[in-house]
Amino acid sequence: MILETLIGSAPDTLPAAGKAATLLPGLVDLTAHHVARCDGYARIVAATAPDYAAAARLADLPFLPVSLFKSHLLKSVPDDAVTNLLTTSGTTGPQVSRIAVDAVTADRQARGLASVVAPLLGPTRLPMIVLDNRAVVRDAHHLSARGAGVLGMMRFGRRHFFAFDDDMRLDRDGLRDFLDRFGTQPFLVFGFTFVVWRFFLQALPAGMDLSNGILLHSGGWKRLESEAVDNATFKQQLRERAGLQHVRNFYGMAEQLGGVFLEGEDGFLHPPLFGDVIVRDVDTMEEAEPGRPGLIQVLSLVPTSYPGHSLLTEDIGVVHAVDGGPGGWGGKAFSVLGRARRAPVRGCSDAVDYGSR
Amino acid sequence: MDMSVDILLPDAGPADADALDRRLARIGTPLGREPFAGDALLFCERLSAAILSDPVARRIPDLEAFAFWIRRKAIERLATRFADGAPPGTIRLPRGVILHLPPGNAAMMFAYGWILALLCGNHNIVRLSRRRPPEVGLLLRLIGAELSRLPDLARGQLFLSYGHDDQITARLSAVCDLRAIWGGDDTVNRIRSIALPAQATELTFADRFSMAAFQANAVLDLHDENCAALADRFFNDVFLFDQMACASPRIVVWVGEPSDCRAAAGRFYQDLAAVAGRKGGDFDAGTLCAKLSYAFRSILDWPVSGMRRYGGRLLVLTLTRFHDFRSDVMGGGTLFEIDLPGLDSLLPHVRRKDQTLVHFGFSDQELRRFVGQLGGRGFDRLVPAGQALFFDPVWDGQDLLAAFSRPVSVLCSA
Repeated sequence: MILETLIGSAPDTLPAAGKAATLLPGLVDLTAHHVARCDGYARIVAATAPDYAAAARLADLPFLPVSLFKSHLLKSVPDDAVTNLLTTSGTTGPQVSRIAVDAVTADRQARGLASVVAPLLGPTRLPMIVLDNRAVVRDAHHLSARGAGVLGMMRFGRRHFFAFDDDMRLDRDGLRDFLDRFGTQPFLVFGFTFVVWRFFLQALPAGMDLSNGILLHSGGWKRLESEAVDNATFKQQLRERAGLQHVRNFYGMAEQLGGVFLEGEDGFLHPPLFGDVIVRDVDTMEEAEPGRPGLIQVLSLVPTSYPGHSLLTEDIGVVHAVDGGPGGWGGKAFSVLGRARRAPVRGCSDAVDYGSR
Repeated sequence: MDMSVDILLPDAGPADADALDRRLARIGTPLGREPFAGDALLFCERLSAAILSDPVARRIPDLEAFAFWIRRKAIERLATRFADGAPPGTIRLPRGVILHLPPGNAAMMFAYGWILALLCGNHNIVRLSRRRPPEVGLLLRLIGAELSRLPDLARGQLFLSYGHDDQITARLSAVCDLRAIWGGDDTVNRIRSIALPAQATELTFADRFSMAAFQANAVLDLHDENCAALADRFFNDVFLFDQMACASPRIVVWVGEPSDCRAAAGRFYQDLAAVAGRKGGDFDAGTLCAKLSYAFRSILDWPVSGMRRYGGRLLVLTLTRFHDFRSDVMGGGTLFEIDLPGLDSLLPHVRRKDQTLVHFGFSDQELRRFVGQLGGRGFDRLVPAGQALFFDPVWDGQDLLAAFSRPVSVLCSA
């Protein structure tokens, strides 16, 4: 019910306090929903936050570490209701997350995403360039998170052109044709951040004019850290090499469907109305003051088929302002600084450089 | 044979196979030193002073602790212990050449084992990791400077470094009388397959597990400042080495009535968390993520009924019954806890892998009675809170002064 109300509203119209008051009861109800339907989640809530129903702040709600979906399949619907078992490739190890999605959650996710991107894209579906290959969406029932992301965004476009072949070679002729036909009107471009940088920009021939394009990209900078690419460099290169003026990042993860944090014109990320972000100080685990970095926790009213509505990520972020956005935007403005790193482990086992061989 | 060995001390530099063989030949002969000889004592005294007068070294706690451990008075006590330890009718002599393979990630451990072996009069080959933290480099420099003043002693010491190379380990093993492997099950198993001379023996230090046992009423009886002091000592036990040392306790056993246990635990963890916040040093987000990930997994997979967070630094997981998690441990301030009616109730859960029991609030008699019932199960040391990581010549159930020497029976005619 709350989700429905919030999806109908324009983003960033609620100040943070009002937003917490709206979200809190919804997230408490969602917690109870998952406690009643997922035994593992019930164990965790009993052990970590048995008094969650009395939570006075969003920060008092129980959370799961996002990595838990790598070791355990947690779901709140029967097996036969699962329409899609999403898998993500881990950036830190061979283990993948498994996310059980049913029709209800898929629909909530679609509507949530629509409410976030519609103001940016307008009321009609735009011609769309998908900066990926068709293979990632071929098997609709065993999607990777990348495929699910592409498929989710494809709803907002028409005349989809997949810019890469299965070997991730750029289809230059196809791109030229697309731009000849649609390049003089607004069109949508979507791709994962590292694909845009590593496969698109590197292969883009000179003279391609994408100045009417609106590029949405997601997936983070994790795989680009070694190349020291930041958002400013990324945007500058896209402007210079492709004429792309409208470039928006969004932050999210397969483990939290509906957690769509879109970059605003201020260059910062903003939570949707049906979700929020909390940055927690590493030392105290309390909510950090604006300006102080910490671990990012994401909240969303969307997931009902699995307990992913409150997740502690392994990303470091910082809230820049609360209710201080340009034009009186409400809510939090934040950015992602990178991934949590672990110092080398000391101790007296695994020694002499031998054990790890 | 293609070999890549860096000699660190004495006369640092790369060595090929021939150069290594020449060094090893020199180490092997002659072996006429006496235990606790004058120059070895002098060396310890000077090295201790050198560390404590070095402006950088004296500020590094690991180095300061080592300097304290080898100060003159402490070495004299060791000498007495050595002399008193000889079985009747024997004279203790050095064992010969000791090959030390210390752990790479508890960097300072090499120094303790090596000093004991040196004091016993042995020649020593010490293999150090290529990834040496700065404090090890600093200590090596100070050792080198002091050794150069005592050439006779220096001739019997060889510090070197090399990567994964079993052939080099085999060459070093071929000249030793005792090989000491510190470093966990994988390392021990791997190196153990490399042959030793028939008369040589081996000391191994495998992965171990440690616990703490607190008498609940004794904690409740403490005045506030004494409870804080206890927490301060226990902080060192748990948090030094990121709780990844073999002797770092991983579970607190609260002994007493359930209500007393809960009251004592609640009080004590608050104090422990306060110390951790004050003294904890750098704490990284990656460690926090790893800890939380581990803790939540444990709730799903093990009999864990509660998790309490004290800031990011201390996580306490309550077990409803004993669970053997010895092969899946997490450091960085992760403690399990369980309530038991008496120390005796711990006995069925003790395993051979258990090394240290940190204790508070038990009488000598209670502790001795407990140890008397252990049999072959486990625990090699019971120490008061604050001393889990104190190095002692009796370590992991092995008397190093005895291991680094050999008793020669001298039976005289009547």
